[in-house]
Amino acid sequence: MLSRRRFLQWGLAGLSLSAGLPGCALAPSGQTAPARTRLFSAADTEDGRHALVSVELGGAAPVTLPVPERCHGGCPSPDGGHVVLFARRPGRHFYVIDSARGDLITQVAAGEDHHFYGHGVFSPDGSRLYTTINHYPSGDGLIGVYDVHNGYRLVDHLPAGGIGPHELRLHPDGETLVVALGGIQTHPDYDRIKLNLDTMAPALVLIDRHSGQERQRYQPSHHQLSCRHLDVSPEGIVIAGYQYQGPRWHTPPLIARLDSQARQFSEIELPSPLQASLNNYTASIAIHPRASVAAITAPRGGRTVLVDYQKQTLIRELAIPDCAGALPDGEDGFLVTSGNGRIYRIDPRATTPETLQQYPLRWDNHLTPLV
Amino acid sequence: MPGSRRFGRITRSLSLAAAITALPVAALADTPRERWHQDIATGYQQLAEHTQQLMDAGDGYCQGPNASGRRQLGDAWLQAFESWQQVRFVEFGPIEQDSLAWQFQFWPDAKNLVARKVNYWLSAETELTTATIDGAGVAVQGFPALEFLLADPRFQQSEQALPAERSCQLFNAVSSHIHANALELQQQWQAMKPHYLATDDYTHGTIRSAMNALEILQDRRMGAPMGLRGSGRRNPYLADAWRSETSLAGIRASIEGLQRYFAPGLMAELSAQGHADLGEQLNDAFEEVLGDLENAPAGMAPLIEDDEGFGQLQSIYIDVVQLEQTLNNDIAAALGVIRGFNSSDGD
Repeated sequence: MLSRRRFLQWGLAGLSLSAGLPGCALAPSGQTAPARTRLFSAADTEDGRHALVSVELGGAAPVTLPVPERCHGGCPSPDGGHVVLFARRPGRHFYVIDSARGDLITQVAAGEDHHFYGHGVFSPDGSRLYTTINHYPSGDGLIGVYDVHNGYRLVDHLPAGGIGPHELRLHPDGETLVVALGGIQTHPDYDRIKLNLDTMAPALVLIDRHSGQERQRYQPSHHQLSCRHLDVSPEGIVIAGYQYQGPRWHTPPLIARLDSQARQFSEIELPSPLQASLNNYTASIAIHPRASVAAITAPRGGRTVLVDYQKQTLIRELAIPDCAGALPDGEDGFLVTSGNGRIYRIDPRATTPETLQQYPLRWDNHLTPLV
Repeated sequence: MPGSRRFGRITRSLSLAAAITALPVAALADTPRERWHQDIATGYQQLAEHTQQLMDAGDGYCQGPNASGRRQLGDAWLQAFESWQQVRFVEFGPIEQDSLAWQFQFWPDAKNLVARKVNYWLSAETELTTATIDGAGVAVQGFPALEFLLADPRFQQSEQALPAERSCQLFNAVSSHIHANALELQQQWQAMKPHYLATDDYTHGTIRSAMNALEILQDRRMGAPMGLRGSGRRNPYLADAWRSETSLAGIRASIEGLQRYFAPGLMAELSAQGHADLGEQLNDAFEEVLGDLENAPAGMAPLIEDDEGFGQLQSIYIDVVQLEQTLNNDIAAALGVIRGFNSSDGD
C-alpha cells in the first residue's frame, strides 16, 4: 500500500509524464463543470509508458497517473467518490483513485498465487468491491470480495464457476453478479499463453454475490468462443462479447444475448461480410440504459457495431480504427475511444463517427465513467 | 562448451546450402498475397522435411549410438531449428491454433521451465510416448526441450545424458511431436489458401507480422541480452538458444527467412504501389545485416563476454535497427500500414 508521500512522488512523476500533453495541468479538476462528462481509462503514452488517465470532455487536458503495469478495465463506486482501475491479466494490483482530486488513494495487491483479470464492480451500497481473480496454481477462477470501508481488505473468495472469469457486472436486482467466463487457462510462468484451447469451457454465469451460489449458466455455441466482456440493461438483458480461439477463416457469432428474467439465451449473428470483418474478436460492450441499443467494439476489424438488443438486429456498423472503450452518451449515442488517441461520439442515426477530441495517448480496452 | 561451438560452425554451412537450394523453388506469382502464400508454404515444407530428418536422426542415434551419429543429431537439430527461425515471422493463420508457435519454441523462459519440465519427465515413471508429450505443456514440446537434451552443460555430465534410454525416449517423443506439428502447419496453410487470397486485410496483416518479428528480434532477442533493455546488464542467458550457443545463428536464420519468404511478396506490393525504391532500400538493409552476421560466431555469449566482441555485436545490432526502421517506419508509412494498440494486443 502506498503512503501519502508516495502519492506525491507519483504526482510529480505524473507532471513530467504529462508534459507532452497539450495544455495539461496536473492540478486535479476538482472544479469540474457538472455538465461535462468525466472519464477514466487505462492508456499508454506514445513512448510506451503505462498510465491511468482521467479526462474531462471539453475541459482541461487529461490528468495522468503513471503505473508500472498495463491496466485494463475499471469501475466507479456508486457515490462517485472512488474509481478503481485494474491491472491487465496477469495483473497484480488494482488502483483506487479519488475521483474528485484525481490522485491515488491506495493500491491493492492480488496476493501470492493470485492475479487479477482486469475487471471489477461495486455492490449497490458501495461497501463491497468484487473482482475476477485467477488462483493460478490450480487454475480456479475466483471472485474476490473486498471491504471498501476497511481499506479494500480482502474478505472472501467466491467460486467463479470455472476457468478464466473476465468481466463482471452487477445485475439490476442488486444481488446477482453477471460473469463472463472466458474459459482460457493461463499461468504467469507461461506469459499469456493459452494453455487449454482444446478443453476450454466458456460460459455466461449469474452468481449470488452473498452466497456465491450459481443461479444461471449458459454456454456459447462453440467451446472456443471465449466469453469476455458484457453489459447489463436496466431490465436485465445481458449482451456479452466473444473472442473466438479457432481458425481465422471460421466466422462464428461473437455477440450473445441473455434475457435473464425469461432465461432465454441466444446469439446475434451479423450479416456475413460484417461478421467476417470483425476478425473473431470483440473488446468492449456498452448498453445504453435509455435506448434499446448496445455498442460492441471490434478493434481487430476496426469496426464498432450497434445492435438493437431487444430485436436482436444490426442497426449499423461504423469504421473506427483500433476502437477500444465504449460508454453510453446522450439519448442513444455512445462515446468510443481508440488506440489512435481519439475519443469519438457515435450515434445510431449517423453513418460516420464524430471525433470529439484527440490526445497523445493510446486508449486501452475499456472506458470507466464517473457516476 | 567446445562441442556446441563446433555445432554452430556446421550450422552456418548448412544454412548457406539451404539458401542456395531454395532459391529457384518459388515460381513467380501474380499478386503479393499469392507470392507470400507460396513462399511461406515453401518455408513450412522445409520445416516439415527437416523435422522429419531430426526425428530420423534421433531414432538412428538412439538405436546405434556413436560419435558420428551424435554429430549428425546435433546438425539435424540445428537444421530444423533454423527452418523454424525462418518462418517464425508468420504469426497468423494455422500457427495461431493451439499455441503452435509456443509449442515449437517456448521462449522467453525466465523461470527455466524447460529444464524443470524435461527433468520432471525424465524422472517420472509414466511411459513416454508422443501422446504423453501432446498433453505435456509447451515447455517440453519444442526445440528448447531437445536443445536441453543435446546441449545443456550440466545435463551432459549426468548419467541421464543421451543415449540413456529414458532420455532417448523423451527425445524421440518430442521430435515426433514437433514433426507432427510441422505437418499440421503445412497442411493447414494450404487449407487456408482461399481465405488468405480472398481477404484483403492479410496484405497489411502479413506486413505487420514481419514488423512484429523484427521488433522482437531487435528488442528481445538482441537488445535484452546485450543489456539495452531493463537492467542495463549484459546477460547471454536472456537470448534464445543460449544452451547450444546458436543465438546468432538463429537470428541469422530469422533474417534469411524474412528475406526469402517475406521480402519477395513485399517487393511486389511496393512495386504495385509505386514504391520500388523502398524495396531496394530494404534489400540493401538485408544485405548489410547478413554481411555482418557472416563473420560472426553462432553463439552470442562469446561476443557479450568481451569488449571487442561486443563492438562487433553492436555493429550487427545497428544494422538490425536500420533494417527494422526501413520496414517499420519507411515502408509501413508509405503503404499506410498501421499497428493498432488494441487491435494487436488486447485482452
